[in-house]
Amino acid sequence: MSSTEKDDYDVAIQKALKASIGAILQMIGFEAANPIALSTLTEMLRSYLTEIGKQAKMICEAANRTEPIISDISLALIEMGNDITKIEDFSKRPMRLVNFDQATSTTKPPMKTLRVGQRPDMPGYVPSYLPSFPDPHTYMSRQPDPPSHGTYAELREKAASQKRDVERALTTLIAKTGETDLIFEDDPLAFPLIANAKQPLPYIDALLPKEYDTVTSEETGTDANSDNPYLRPIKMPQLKKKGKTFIPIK
Amino acid sequence: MKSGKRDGYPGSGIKPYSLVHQTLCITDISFETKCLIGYVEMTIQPHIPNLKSFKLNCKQCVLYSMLINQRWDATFSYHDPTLEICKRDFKQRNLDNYKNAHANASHSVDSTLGNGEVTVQIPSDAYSAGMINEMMPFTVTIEFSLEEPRGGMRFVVSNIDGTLVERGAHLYTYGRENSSRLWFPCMDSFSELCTWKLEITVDMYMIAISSGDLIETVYTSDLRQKTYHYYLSVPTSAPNIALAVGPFEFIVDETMPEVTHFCLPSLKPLLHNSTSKLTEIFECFEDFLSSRYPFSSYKQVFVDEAYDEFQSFSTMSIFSHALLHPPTIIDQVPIMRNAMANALAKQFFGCFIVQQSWNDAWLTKGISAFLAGLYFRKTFGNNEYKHMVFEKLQAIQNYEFKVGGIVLDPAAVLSRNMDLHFSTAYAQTTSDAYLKAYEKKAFLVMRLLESRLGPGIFLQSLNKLLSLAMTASNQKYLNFVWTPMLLSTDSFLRGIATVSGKDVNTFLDLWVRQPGLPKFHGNFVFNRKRNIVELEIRQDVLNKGTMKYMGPITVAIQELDGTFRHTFNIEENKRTFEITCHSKSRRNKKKKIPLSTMEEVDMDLGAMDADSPVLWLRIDPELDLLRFVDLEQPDYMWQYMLRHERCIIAQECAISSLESFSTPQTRLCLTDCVENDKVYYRVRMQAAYCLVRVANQLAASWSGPPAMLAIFHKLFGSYSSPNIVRRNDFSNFQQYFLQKTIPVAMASSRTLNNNCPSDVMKFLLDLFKYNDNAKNKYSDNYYRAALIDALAATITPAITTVTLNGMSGRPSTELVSDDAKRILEEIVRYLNLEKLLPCYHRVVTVSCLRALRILQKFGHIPSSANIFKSYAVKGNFINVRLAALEALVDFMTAESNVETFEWLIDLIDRDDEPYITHRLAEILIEKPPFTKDIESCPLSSEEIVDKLWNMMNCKFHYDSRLRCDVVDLYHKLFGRRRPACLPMSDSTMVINLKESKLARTGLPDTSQDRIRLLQKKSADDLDYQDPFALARTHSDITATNDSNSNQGLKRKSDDLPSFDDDSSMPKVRIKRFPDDKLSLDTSLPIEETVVTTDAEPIPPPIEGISIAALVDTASRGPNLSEDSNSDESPSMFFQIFFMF
Repeated sequence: MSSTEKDDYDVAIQKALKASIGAILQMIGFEAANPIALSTLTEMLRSYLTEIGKQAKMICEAANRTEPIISDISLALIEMGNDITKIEDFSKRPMRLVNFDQATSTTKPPMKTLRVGQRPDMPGYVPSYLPSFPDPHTYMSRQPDPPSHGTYAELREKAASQKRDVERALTTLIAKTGETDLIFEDDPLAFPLIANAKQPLPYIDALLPKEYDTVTSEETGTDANSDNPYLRPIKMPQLKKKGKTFIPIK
Repeated sequence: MKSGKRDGYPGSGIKPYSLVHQTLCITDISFETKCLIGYVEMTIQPHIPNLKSFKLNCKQCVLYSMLINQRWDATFSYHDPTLEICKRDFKQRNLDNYKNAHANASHSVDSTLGNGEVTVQIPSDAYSAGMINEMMPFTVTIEFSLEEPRGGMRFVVSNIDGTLVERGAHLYTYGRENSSRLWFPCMDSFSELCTWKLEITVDMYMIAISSGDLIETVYTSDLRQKTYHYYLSVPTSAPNIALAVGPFEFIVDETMPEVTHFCLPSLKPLLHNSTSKLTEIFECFEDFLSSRYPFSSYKQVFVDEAYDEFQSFSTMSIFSHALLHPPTIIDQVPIMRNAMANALAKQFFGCFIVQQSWNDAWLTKGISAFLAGLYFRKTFGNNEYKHMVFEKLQAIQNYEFKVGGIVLDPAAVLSRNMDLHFSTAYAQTTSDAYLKAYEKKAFLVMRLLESRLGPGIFLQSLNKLLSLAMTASNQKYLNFVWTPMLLSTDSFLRGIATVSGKDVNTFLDLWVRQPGLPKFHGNFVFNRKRNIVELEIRQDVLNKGTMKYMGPITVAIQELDGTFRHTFNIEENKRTFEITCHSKSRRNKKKKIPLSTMEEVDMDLGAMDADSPVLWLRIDPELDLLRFVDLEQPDYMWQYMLRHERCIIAQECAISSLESFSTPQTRLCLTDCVENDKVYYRVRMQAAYCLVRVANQLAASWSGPPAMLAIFHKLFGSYSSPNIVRRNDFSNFQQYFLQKTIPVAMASSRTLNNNCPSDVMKFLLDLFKYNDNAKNKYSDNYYRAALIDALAATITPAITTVTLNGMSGRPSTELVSDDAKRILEEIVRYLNLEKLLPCYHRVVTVSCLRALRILQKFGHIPSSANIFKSYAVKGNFINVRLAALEALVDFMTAESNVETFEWLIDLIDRDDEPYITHRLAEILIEKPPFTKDIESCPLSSEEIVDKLWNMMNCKFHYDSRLRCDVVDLYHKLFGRRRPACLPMSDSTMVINLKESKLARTGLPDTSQDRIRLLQKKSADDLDYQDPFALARTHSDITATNDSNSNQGLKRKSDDLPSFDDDSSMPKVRIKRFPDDKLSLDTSLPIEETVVTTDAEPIPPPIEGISIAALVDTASRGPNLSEDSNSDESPSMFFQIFFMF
């Protein structure tokens, strides 16, 4: 138990005891209590109860048990000089106050132990109070399970959610880190829209989508042997101008 | 204009000279300054002795020198009336005047008629000095330069750092019809054929592609540049010459080494895949025409920011590179192939065989579209072809019934009475929407002609035309030799008559020389006693765009015993016809029913009328006429027709008719249609849309899941869990298109509360969620876009929240409904994802923008233009820009936002991408923010009127398409009359006077007008019969204040008030109003006052009446102000000024 949890536990007990003391004082006839007096009384009650617990524990251990039963507590009370026959009367007293807001500490459920495989059911002849079988792989040899499949629908669901989560996380990240366009002027954080950036050559993205792999595209289009005028080499200029070309007089 | 031209040799009707050869040499191109310099050398053959002058076309270019025979300087004058259409036509600033003036201006530079912007004078001593030999060809050499052209040629240079190659710098020429004059001096007419030599010098890393065969590439003497030498031996007209220069990469076609494809380096990976089918198209055409390709090379150049999807020039076509696509894209394939087929078909008819004049343009346009259609049918099947034909027919129905009739041959008499707001006599004045419909009609007429003559005969006549032209093209220049390369209506008729022996002139009279389409309304009853069907066919001849048809019409009737065709003759007063039925209504239940395709099918005859043997009836089933048919038939007949008729046009008609019969039977019938995979996919798609509409009408009694949900699950759901859509596999294209369509159709289903049912919503969101394209061969971008469209279609108006404390119900994040939130989430996610992983053509972005606008419009999110503006500016892909502009237009209309309206109008004005400005104008025309019928609109202002007028009057002289678009827009917004937002009454005069002064000072030179008048005069002398000439004289008189030189005009203008002694009138006006403030107290004596307003008592002649008084009179007389638009106003106007 971590230290903070222990503190929480203490505080809760403290609270409950304080409330009980308050209730008892009210029952007796007090109208108000000094905080110091109240805490002193609470402390007394606490040590008293602790003492009962210790006694009960000792008695139960003396009887070779680990957990005290009701008779251990009765014995402990008697040891400390109480008349236990009066407890019943006390509990049925006329001016009994019920403490409503008892602070409860949130106790966490015990950690689940990792279970592997299906534990076999108990056979009928084994008493039910005996502990259940451990996980099968711990005591018998068996083939590993085929990977868990789930139905087709579940798988699709899982894949779709995963894809969507990735997409959403990515777009949100970009939207939050970059500039955005506003859909709602009053709430810039709702539906962040990545701002539209101008592109110098917008056609490249639009015509060559990233999803299209350009691996297949390198074709042997330019066959050097084919008689196409654009494949011919560039000629060197002739020093003598042809008759046809005419240079205008500037 | 008409006389003599048709039967004379080319260009000889008027023009006493013709071109033999032209050299175009571009010596330097600068991409930084966007200019080029070069020279042309034309060899001209005079046809008359002692030729004094000739005319050339040239716009935008600067001419430096003009030499005749390389030695003698020629004097030339320049005058271009198209720079400013209406010169100080201040008072009459309306579309009717503009129409006339625009036609006149186009006339005066129409090279087919021997006119042009540049008039070259041959020096009078030229002949005596031996400079030119009589009747011998001479050369004219013109040095010119072109700087930052606004039209005709486009320099595409992006504004990034780097070399020109990295910036993707390239240039190409473009133009609408004949507009080569925008980039080099020429005779810009299709009928002016000559051989060409082209020499283009470019930097080392550039390639120059031009018309003709590449002879050689030579380094310049400094070895820093290279010169491409092209020679075009086939006589070609200047409008078919093109040029493209850039750092292009190219591939040579594998099977045809003469064919080369070019594109920018970055897009080379796409080139092979996109163009691989060209061989097939070549084979197809050569097979159809049994004639080889007329040129010896062919080049396809793919460029950025193209003017149009494709433009065809001799031996080369320039395409928009947005057509290119990777092999993973399905939707683009038919578009790409269609563009290639059309461009190639135009090489045969349009580039090789050219139209003789604008009047014959329908022939080349029609035939090339028809050829491309044949290829389309061969590749994509007969149904697709039929669908295309029907679609085109519907498009021209739409245009003709809404805007006005189309006359394919504008020379036909009726065209003068046509009630359009623009003139169709010249390509430059014809509206683009009209031209598009015109091309479709030309195609349909060719198709009709083919079915009239028989397919073989028609193709034979085309072959005849081609072979004549081929023979001609191999000849050396002689006066008449090249005539067969010009296609005119007459030569076409002759060609058909030679091959088929048929005269189709009456056919042309009906479809080519008459506007409109016949509009039939049919209904019929079965007469049991006589066993006949009495069919009544009425024609609507009164409405716009309709035509009175008399002649044969086919009616197909499906009876129990089979299909029977009857041909009736529609005559003047006959409109009821009797069809005798073959079958008796007694029927044998077991018998199969034969269809028109001779198949026999089982039918459930339970639904039909027990007495009648008629299953259904169709009027003109084979589309033998261009017509609109509206047939009344009971619903079960339409249902039988949809189920059993095999023709997809019939099925589509049945679907659209069934929409008005929402019954459970209809629902069942449509459901079966969508489900049946034997039905053509387009029909299934259409049925899906119809089914949803029927379901919406049946919403009250509808039970079970939403319409088509089950079908979708069945067709596309995965096997084990049908609710989850299968992983995408688009290898079956029919399924693919259906899968795209059904969600969109379903999205428009509505409950009784007019909301989208939650089942459908969930279904759509699941489609988003489970979309998985990992194993697909094809890209799913169009599918994802369709899903966004579907989400957008589910949106219904938000419940407006009006709070009590007067706060406006402006939507904010808290108030968005859950559904809208989910929709918005998907849209935002997809749009964001698009930024990181852009898809082909950005179709998803486009759909997202549309969806956002719909959310805004229905009040789910606040309306704002800012998002769209960032997508609408340059720097975005063209489709995205257009979608954003569409959203902005919608926003501006819905919110009456003046600022956005001005922003859009400015965009038309200043954006340098012609396709964007054109499309924006089209969007505005399609969805005008206000129309002339609306009394007042905050958007309509004087400023807008001025801006638009200014654009169409002078600014857009370089792009006739855009100019005509603005004319269309102006017409849509303000109508033909004076715009209502302009101040009327007294201020009319004040403003006009001011403007007149401004116009005066703006154009100090009156010599231009004189030239114009002289041209007019000579045109008048040539042809007295031309009604346009008469119209011209009218407008001249109203337009010309300078009446010194209008002696020749007066002859025809006797009906107008004469002002012989009024020659100084304009000057007087300027003197009297020296400053802009009309000085009202300037007392001027008035000799006589003849104010012809009936309501006003004629004021007595008073000495010293001031203009103020006159203006006052005008303002008090309501008739005067209204009349400012009417025909009387010019005379009224002049009368008032005459008084001074």
